[in-house]
Amino acid sequence: MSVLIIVLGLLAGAYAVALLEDRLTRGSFAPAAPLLAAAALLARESIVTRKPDRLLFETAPVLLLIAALLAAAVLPLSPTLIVADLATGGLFINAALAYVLVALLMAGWGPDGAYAMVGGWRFLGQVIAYSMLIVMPITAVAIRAESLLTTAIVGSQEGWWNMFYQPLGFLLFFIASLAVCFLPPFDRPSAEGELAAGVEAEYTGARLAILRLGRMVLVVSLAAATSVFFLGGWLGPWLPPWVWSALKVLAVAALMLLAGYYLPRVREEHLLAWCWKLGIPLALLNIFIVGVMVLAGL
Amino acid sequence: MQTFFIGFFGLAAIVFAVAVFRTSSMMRSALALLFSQTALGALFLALQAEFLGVLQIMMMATEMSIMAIFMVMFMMDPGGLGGMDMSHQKRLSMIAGLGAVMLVSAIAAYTRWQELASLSQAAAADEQIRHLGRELLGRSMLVFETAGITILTAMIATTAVAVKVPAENASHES
Amino acid sequence: MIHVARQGRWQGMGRLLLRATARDLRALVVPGPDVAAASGLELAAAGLRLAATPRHANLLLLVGELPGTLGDAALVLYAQMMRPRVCLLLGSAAPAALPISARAELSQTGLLEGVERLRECLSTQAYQKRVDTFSAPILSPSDSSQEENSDAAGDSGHHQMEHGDEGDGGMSFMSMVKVTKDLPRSPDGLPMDRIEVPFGPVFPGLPGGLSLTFTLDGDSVAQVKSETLRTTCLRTPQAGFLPDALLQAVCALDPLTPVSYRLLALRALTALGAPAQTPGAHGDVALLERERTVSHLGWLALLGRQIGFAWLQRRALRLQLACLRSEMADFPTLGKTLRRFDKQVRRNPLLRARLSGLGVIAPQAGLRGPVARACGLSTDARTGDPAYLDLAFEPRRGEGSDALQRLYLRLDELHQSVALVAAVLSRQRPVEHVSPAGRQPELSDGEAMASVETPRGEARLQLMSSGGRITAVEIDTPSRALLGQLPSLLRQQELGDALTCVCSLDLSPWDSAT
Repeated sequence: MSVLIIVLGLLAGAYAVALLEDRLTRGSFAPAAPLLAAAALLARESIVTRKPDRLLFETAPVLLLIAALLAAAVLPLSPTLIVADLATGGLFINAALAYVLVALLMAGWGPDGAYAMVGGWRFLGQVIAYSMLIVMPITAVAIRAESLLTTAIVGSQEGWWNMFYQPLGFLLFFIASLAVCFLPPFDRPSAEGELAAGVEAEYTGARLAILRLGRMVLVVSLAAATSVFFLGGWLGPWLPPWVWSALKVLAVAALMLLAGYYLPRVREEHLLAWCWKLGIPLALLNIFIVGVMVLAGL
Repeated sequence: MQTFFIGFFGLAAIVFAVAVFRTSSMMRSALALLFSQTALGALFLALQAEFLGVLQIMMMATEMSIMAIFMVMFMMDPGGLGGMDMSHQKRLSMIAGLGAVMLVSAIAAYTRWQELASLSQAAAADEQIRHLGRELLGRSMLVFETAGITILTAMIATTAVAVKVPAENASHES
Repeated sequence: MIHVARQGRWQGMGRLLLRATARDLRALVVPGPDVAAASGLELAAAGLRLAATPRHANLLLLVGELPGTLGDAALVLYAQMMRPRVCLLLGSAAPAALPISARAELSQTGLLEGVERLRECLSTQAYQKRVDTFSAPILSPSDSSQEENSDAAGDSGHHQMEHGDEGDGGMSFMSMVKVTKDLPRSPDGLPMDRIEVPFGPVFPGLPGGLSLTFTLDGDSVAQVKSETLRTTCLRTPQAGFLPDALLQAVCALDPLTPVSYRLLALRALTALGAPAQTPGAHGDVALLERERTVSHLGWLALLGRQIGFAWLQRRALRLQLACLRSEMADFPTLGKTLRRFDKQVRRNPLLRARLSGLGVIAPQAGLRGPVARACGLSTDARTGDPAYLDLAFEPRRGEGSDALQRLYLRLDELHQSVALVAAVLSRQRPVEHVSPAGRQPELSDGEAMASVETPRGEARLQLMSSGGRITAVEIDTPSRALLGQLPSLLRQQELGDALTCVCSLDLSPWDSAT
């Protein structure tokens, strides 16, 4: 039951993300546009390039979708609404997100196109930059909760949401989550102006529809993760818990898209330099501060 | 049920491992190795070693992807379309493989499974993590810290060796 | 008429899909959205979304006249599009092999009309029982030019790395060294397979029509080849040009800046004795400066698309259309909006990081236009123009030579242009172009030369006439010199940075056409 609700919730979230993306790129609000776009993609031809690695080409979109769904599986929408409340929840989400990389490498290699291939390898470079900034803020969150259970993590934020308890970690996690979803300004693998859509360039029709859906679900998953780890998940007065979760997830997703709208794409060298020379020391500092605060009983 | 999953993931790991050597595409080879390792991770999960399993699944994705880019960069014909024969030192690898199989079978044969099974039931997952934490930051701390520092040193040293000092800079310094 | 529909019959659920296909139009614009915008087309208002590659497009939108090379490219692009696909022609001519679904005049109303017709025919005929296959001579495999023209990366991936014949059989473990010893080395000493990747002539981050081929060494650029458009519009006919024909030919040269080239031709003709057809010296200034604003804003929109800065892309495009459509008398009122826009652009910290240090061009003779002025030179044809001197014109200059300085300079020039137009308006009501005289003007024999500072730099036109006809035309345009600098400028740049460098130069493939 909760599996069904979560999947429907993710789809609804993906729809909202698509709607907002369309609004930002085109300027007008068309509630039916994402559905029309999806239907049109399904109605269009879907071809395979001339000398593909067929196996990787076909697997990649599905794997991306699965990775995004698995990441959402350990995130609670309410105290009981969760697919799997794993004891290693905080670690499991990292494991699921690691397969986004695998999916994109496959999508880059599979179609045998230069734009796609460069796009795929670009994401590997991006992972090297951002991955520590996903893991280390989660570590600090787990320190405060003294547990990797995602439900316990939400429970630990009864007093102060982690967004205020550890603002540094929140900021780093938010930026890194943009990079995971390869959203602007980190859309290097699928850059339109540099690679003519990169990893997406050779996908068409239904395959492209799955790839795009996977990416949108990924955005929702990351927004949900941000909400669970830093915004107190379902916590909030008056409204029922799942409404709070939904509101927070949508707000974070909107913030993610808006941030990219107002920023140009980051250069590879800057991405690596900033993440390693600035981001990781800050993340370590965050862990240290949180450790001190926890010991001090704050 | 548990036995079924153990068998399933065990077989999957073996199938993917075989696939590593059956293809000449570097990319497929690397990814097959990745999924073989992922299947091992799932096997750990089936064995109720949750932390170990998730960790294995997570680490391997990034590691194997990084291996893949090096294989593609350094190998000729990374797509495996040129029909180049990728295998070498066949006799040696056959002997090594056979030896490994014999060693593993011997261990399996000489383990007293009955005794182990009666020894203990697996602890609950969160209990395991707690134990693991105490182990890592207690008795085994020195071992792990040493290993960590050693790896860090190796990384820095490798980078330092790999970076070529530009000629004009070198002459300035000397 | 949809000539290449997708095979199949759809009922019930299918009808819904049909309607969706008709509503969801993803346009691939040939030559490019920049040309469409310079022609005053607002694609978003017609409900069109831009597609990044032909694979994602279902509408091929042809804008204006396509020189021969672009016509071939359009055929290749059409072949790469997924069915059901349609083709809308705004303007005059298209390659004969291309199945045109609808044609309309080159204007916003024409666009809306054409799109409406496309929707109608898509929602009724997108699926047919039998479909024709599309083919054109250029698409046959024996024609090697296909790959060069194709926008989608075609097949430059791993299968190019076939090296079957080298030392097969006895290949032992260490022979890798032997195999790679003759390969070109990257600066880091690693021998890698290089791939040749086409960028353009229709590529999202480049001006439409510009065709570059990068030889990629990993993701850095090892070599650059550029191919210019081939136009025939300035080829002198046997009997020579009549003055009107020349005027038309020069105007058609660059759809991005038609006003400047029209002025250039008129000035040259006037120097040959034809009656003046320009709206007077100050009127020229107003027309030129408005076009400069439009062109710079178009460049900003393109830069926004190239560096993935959606806000910049949308905002600059909107301002560009506003400038283009404004009455000359109202034009200076846009100044305030432009100033706010400028402030918002300059305030963006990531934009600064993205552009600074990229595409450094040292000050040197031969540079023209904003590229020259950004690196501190005061090269400007306007300084020799009495009308400009009368308005106390002083060229703006930058103090660096990278892409960021070029951005700042163009932003500065936006305000300068608006101020110049305002100054002109305070002196006289400008008239739009004087309509040409009914009969062909008389020309005196001899040689004449004229120059105009176009938004990209000084363009010079040299005419020779005898017997009332123009017998020789020599044109010298700003982009051609810059195009030659590309190989040295881009060498060893990361791919994205290289494209940003190209974009920052504001090359026009049209005025560098041969």
